[in-house]
Amino acid sequence: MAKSADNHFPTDVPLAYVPYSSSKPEITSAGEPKTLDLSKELPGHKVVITSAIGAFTPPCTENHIPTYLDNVAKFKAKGVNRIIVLTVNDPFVNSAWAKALGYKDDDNYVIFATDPEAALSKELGENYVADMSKLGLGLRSNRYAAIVDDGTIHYLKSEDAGAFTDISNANTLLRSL
Amino acid sequence: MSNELKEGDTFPKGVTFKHIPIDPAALDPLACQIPAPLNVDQILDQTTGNTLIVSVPGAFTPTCTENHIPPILNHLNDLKEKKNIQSVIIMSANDPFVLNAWGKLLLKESKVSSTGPKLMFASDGNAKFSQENGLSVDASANGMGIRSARFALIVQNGTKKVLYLGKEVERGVKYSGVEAILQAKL
Repeated sequence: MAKSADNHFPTDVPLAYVPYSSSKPEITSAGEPKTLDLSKELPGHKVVITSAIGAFTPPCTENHIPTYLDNVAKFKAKGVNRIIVLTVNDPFVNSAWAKALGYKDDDNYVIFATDPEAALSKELGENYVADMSKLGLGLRSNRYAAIVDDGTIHYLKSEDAGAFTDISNANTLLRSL
Repeated sequence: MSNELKEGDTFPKGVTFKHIPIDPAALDPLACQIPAPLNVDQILDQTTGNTLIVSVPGAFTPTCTENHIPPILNHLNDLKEKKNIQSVIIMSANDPFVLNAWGKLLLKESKVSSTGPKLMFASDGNAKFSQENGLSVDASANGMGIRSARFALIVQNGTKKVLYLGKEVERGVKYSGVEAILQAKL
């Protein structure tokens, strides 16, 4: 669990993302990055946050994130205002990855955002980052999932060393909502 | 220590990148494959002509994706005929998974013939090679850390001499694009 005594999800790390726009649908064309400020995003909203080791890395591409993308309607029905997918990749890579996964929606209900140098994930605790320097991948955000309601953590669990199990599967979060 | 690599220098020994070899017949960017080391000494030894290394600060970033790499991919045969370039390594500090996906997507959109030079998309992990040779840029202000700069570098086969090194000093593609490479005096 996060170290925060009052169980609030940290909001002090500015994230970055490139919003999807149907004017740039090709995977290889990117727009300009924007800042995602959690201190504005979380209050008054129900937000699902899930982190992956990296864009285009196995097995998150095949299994993990699609469980969220496939269930957007169910998350909306449960009153979730936004889904945030985090990796340490830069916003251009995340934007391309989102499109490659088939997420092309101008409402940007799902935001693929950059956790810069895993700074946000570090605040959640040591299990929320994965040091993959030996593989030349540097420090990564671990695979994890969270439900944050009005800034307060209702669910927060991390996988063991980047595995993908029920812990971070969208269906588990849907049952917890 | 960082030594600035210059034209006329011998290309450093022991440079290793990482890559996932791309099969032009299988260009699914979401396919899962395992990265392998790319031993640059070996590439230089095996290449019967010159080797071109083109570096970008980031895969999928607007400048390189739109203006820099596609014109190079579309002129690979020219580079082979006019500059005797037999191997091309497209490189960045992104990880090999990202480069693999990017490479596949670019190849889908390009006209690359099977008679062209050998083509690789490789990762300079932690921008190690770039940093050691004065070829890195600090993109921390944009949250992108230390990256490889935008440059093009031609290494002669046999002598391993750097015949051309065109590094961008500002935004844009002036010294590292296909036109500059085709006009380079080797």
